[in-house]
Amino acid sequence: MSEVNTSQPLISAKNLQKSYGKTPVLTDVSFDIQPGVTGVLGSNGAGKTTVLGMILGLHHRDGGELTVLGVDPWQAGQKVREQMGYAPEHHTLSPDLKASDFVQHVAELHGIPAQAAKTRASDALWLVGLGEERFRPMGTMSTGQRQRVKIAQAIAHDPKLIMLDEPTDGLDPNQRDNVLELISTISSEFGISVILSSHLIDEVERICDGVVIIGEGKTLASGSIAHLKNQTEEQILIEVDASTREIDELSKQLRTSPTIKSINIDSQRLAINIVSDEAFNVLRDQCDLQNIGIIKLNKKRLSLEDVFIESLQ
Amino acid sequence: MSEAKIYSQGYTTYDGPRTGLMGAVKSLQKQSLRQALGMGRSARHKVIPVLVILIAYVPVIIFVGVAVLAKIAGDVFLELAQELIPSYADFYNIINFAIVALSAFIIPDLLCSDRRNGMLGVYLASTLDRLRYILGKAWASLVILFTVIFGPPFLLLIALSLQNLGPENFSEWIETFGKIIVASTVIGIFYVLIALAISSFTDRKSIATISFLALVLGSSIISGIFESVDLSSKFRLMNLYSLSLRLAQRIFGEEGGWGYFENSTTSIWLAWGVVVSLCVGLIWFQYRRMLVQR
Repeated sequence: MSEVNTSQPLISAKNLQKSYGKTPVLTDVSFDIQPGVTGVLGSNGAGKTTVLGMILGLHHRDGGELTVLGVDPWQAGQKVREQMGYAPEHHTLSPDLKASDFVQHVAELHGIPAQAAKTRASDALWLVGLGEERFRPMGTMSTGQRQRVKIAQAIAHDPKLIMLDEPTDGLDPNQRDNVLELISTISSEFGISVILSSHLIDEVERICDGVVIIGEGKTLASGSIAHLKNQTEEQILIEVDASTREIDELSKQLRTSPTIKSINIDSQRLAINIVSDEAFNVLRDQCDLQNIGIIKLNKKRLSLEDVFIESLQ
Repeated sequence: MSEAKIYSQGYTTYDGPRTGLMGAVKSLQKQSLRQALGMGRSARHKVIPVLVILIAYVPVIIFVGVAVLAKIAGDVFLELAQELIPSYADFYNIINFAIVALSAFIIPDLLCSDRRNGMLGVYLASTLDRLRYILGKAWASLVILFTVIFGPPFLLLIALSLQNLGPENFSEWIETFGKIIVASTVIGIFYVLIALAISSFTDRKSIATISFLALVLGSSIISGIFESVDLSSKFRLMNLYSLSLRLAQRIFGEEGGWGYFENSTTSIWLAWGVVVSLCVGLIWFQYRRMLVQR
């Protein structure tokens, strides 16, 4: 992963609001995106696409502030888009068009003169591993190859930032690994920042430096992945030999301790979110006091998936 | 020192000039023309545009042939040729089916497929905005239509002039040439905007094509029915198949057939303006509120 530069955010959003008719889509979205690879996570209908559209200057916001590469994208959309690349989720981009023609055309759309665009299209296609296939119509390519063409067209004009919408959609595990590796390379070797929209948490955790989690029109969490994980409390998973009444009593006593944040009970298993390791002593003492036997006990560090699920709750 | 040269460094940063918005619009127009004419695509995409364009040139080839033969045969045949060869205004009636066919089969593809295959998202994520995108597509459509609207009468003007059957002097020649440009533009804008307006409501090219033909030919039938029951001559202005052709006739200073002599030039211009404004409004209404698909 490339190092996160925390000095100047590429994108800064504060209290973004947007409604379509009377339906609110975004109610309070705030985040800072730093250089590097950033994942935008959210379930379907969470408002991800609207946020991406706002970053590109395609959607007007009803409220809040948004700065992309130092300017307001709604006011200076052309300037922003000139420095950005975008790879849509759609798989059937002009099936009759040859990959090289398509990439050249998109480079020209971003202001590269025709001859230079032709050369850069070729170079970008070689970079993504399609040098030999560049004269094939896109309709004859596999899903993996088309995903690579989409990445090539997003980088051909040498943007500062690219937005990739579900870039591993429809790929087998091997192709997925290759595309994720390619995205990491683009960021680390060529200094192009990447925003990756995805619903696959593990791939975001694998290659991203930062993450923005959006749900029900709000930012549920945002920041560097390492920071988010550290911010979230650790968890004790314990299985006990006790009746329901005894477990309820144990839970009641544990909740009075300031070292314990919350408890989820599932039959004889308890998931206890803790504030500090002192909670282990509190738990041990309570079990001893109530004469409850411990069958299994372990400590768990939360993954990004846990952060995501917790955010949704 | 080695004479080896590095011809390509592979993908690297770009520090060269950028063409900005104009370059983007130009590229969109170029790509749209290539798409419409089936260039860089499989052979089946070339069949309709090539066929329609060729058909549009058949009448002019025949008339030029008649003129050449008459010139060779002598004065008697020359008078016959002058009877046979239509005026420039009437010539549009002969090629109108090709104009309508090209509008119906080619123009919808330029808008519908971009929405259907996600290219619209790619375009609007570039330096283009919605207005420039629509203008670029409209310009490309007009250029394609010009191959069948402007090309044949211009070729006829050149051929007749070479046979001494054209305008009598240079100023008349320039005047006729100017009228051909204006009439072609009026007809072209009319059909381009109708086709684009219909295409902005569906992402299926076939539905847009059928709707265009139904509207243009249907309006001709309906206005014919009104005419047969002797209703007001204003109903003739509903005929989208012939309205712009009648305007072309007025541009050439002719009253025009098909009963249009009852309608004033102003009323024909007004009807043309209403249709054009309505289409512009519909296209902008659709594209302004359109959510860009992913």
